[in-house]
Amino acid sequence: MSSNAVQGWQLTRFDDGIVLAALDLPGKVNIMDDHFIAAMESLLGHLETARDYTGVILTSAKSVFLAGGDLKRMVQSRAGQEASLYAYFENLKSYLRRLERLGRPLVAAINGAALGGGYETCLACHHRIALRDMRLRVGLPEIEFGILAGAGGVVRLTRLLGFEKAVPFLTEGLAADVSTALEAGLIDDVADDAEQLIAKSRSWILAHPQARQPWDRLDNALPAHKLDAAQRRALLLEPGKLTRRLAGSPAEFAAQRTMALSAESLSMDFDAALRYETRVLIELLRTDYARNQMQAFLDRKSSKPAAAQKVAA
Amino acid sequence: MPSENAYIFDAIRTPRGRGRRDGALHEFKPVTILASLLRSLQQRNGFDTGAVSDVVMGVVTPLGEQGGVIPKSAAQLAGWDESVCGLQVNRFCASGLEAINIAAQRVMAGAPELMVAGGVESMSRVAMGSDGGPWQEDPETAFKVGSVPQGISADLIASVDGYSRHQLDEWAVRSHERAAKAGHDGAFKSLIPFQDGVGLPVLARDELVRANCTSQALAKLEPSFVKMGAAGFDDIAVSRFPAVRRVEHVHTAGNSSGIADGASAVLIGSRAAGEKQGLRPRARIAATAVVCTDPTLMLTGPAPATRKLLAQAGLSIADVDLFECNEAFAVVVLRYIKELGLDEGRVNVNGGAIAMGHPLGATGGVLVSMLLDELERRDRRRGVVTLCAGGGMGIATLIERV
Repeated sequence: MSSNAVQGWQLTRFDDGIVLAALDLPGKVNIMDDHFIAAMESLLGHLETARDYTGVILTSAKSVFLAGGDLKRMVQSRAGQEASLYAYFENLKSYLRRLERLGRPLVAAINGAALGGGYETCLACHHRIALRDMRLRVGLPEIEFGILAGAGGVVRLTRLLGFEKAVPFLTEGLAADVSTALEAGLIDDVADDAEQLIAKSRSWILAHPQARQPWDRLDNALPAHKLDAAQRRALLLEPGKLTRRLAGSPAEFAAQRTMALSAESLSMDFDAALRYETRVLIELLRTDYARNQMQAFLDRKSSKPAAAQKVAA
Repeated sequence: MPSENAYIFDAIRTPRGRGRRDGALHEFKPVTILASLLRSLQQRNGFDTGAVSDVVMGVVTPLGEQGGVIPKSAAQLAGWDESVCGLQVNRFCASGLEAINIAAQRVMAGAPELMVAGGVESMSRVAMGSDGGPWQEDPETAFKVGSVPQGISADLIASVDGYSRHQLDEWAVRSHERAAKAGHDGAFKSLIPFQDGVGLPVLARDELVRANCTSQALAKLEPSFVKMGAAGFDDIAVSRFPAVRRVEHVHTAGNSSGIADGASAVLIGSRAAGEKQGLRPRARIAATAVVCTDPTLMLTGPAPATRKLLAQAGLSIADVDLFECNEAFAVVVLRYIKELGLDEGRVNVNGGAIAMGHPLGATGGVLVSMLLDELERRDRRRGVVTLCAGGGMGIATLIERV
């Protein structure tokens, strides 16, 4: 076992050639911000040149696996910035794409909350194992901000679970506990403690040297006319269910666009679907509702330490 | 003469995207592509959408997201008035032009209406042939009809007429050269660049055109229909045309039409209906014709369709300035030129589907818009649009500037 430094990560290499990469960004919580981009750049630069490893375990050096996207950046989105937003997200997404196409098995060892961008990163892994922890949550809560999981979350979860099973997680933003997540297929396995988490990750890698994403098959699209009867029925019924649940709610538009994207994403090639997802995300980022929801969250967060100080005083 | 003239007020098209998973329009479902073009048509012309009675669109593979009377869905998605109807038309590759002819005939019959006609096809999302049909999936029909796939028909025509691979490739090169030059010269006035939902540019020109295409490069391509022929279709073809002895496989991906995504929309109506909306006619649809020819040769309809068309209009070949004959396969155009004794400098002058692609249902409308652009650019009067279609059908439309 040896260690070496790659910016933003604690890297450990086991004797069997498996690399354990623990995300350790500056700040208290790992966030999908510019530090994350820099960390991914350096990790991928390392892994794409050093071909002498058998697999990678992604985990966190902090209590939260990886929190969501860069809200501070997204809240500043304005009409007129579409091209720069598109370039920003396409770049961000390219790291996850490179990760899942390293040509080595990749396991997410989820040792803390993985919500939003955190879970989207897990979706870019070939296998997901979570620590059995009462407080641990996984999911895509972006809908709360009036946006969608635009780092591949909508597209990957829909391909992973199918439209009808993915839709509740996408349009309701459910943060699932570990047993719900396991049952629903958001994660593949559970570990009792940190040691078992790594042990299970290592044995999965050794047992699946050829692992690759199902969407990296050439014929990965599933045109609407080839869906089975149950899937087509879901496409017919889910819009009505969503309308019943959200009619008149300010979140309705974001939920509609998310559901539409989820449905459409299946009919096209995976990489095309990722680009289309970026376009719909930008559409939502431009709405007042999204900006207000994101700003309100940031305000709550920044007022928290002050409130805590007051109580202490 | 018809009691009423059917006028063309405008004719537009999307750029044609590569009809594959890596094509620029692949991200966009067909209803989006069509709705976006309908919105452009309205914006360019400023008519009240409630004045449009019908949207008639050719779709050759109307399945899944391309099914269910997509012209009506597209009009709704575009935000057009609820009074606008929709009709989906299928006559294989002739669908788009048939849609235009249907709209024109309705006006000629006296309907004082505005209509939009054309077509849409996302071949990258709904693959050609995925709707099956008796020729493809019913053995009884296959035995009785002796139908062969279109590629075999194209090779059979070349074998019957004696066209060489080199001649076909030369035409393909010309198609690319002409398309590249026309694009460069700004000849495609009716091409509306495609944008996504937030206004980002997606595709502004026909994606498949290769300005540097050479016959040397094309000569290296493998013939496309050897395997299919060997599977038994060559024998069927030869049994119907014993004089050829064998089918020469001379068509390749390089001298056949490209698989493409795209849409077209032509605004058609009576003079009065146009005047009410402040529209000025660019041309009129003077005549329409369909014919059907030998089903095994299948792709020989354009010449007889053109003859029938011109006979109806009381005109001769010499009265027509420009011809658009769909380049389903290179041999279709070469045979058309030879059969009618045309000057090839008047046929597909800005390139064709070999260079730019053939988004099946949309192509008829695409050709009408290209023809009208070019008649205006050259200040010429008459043009013929013609396409071959499955089963031996041919379709033709006579356009006359006013």
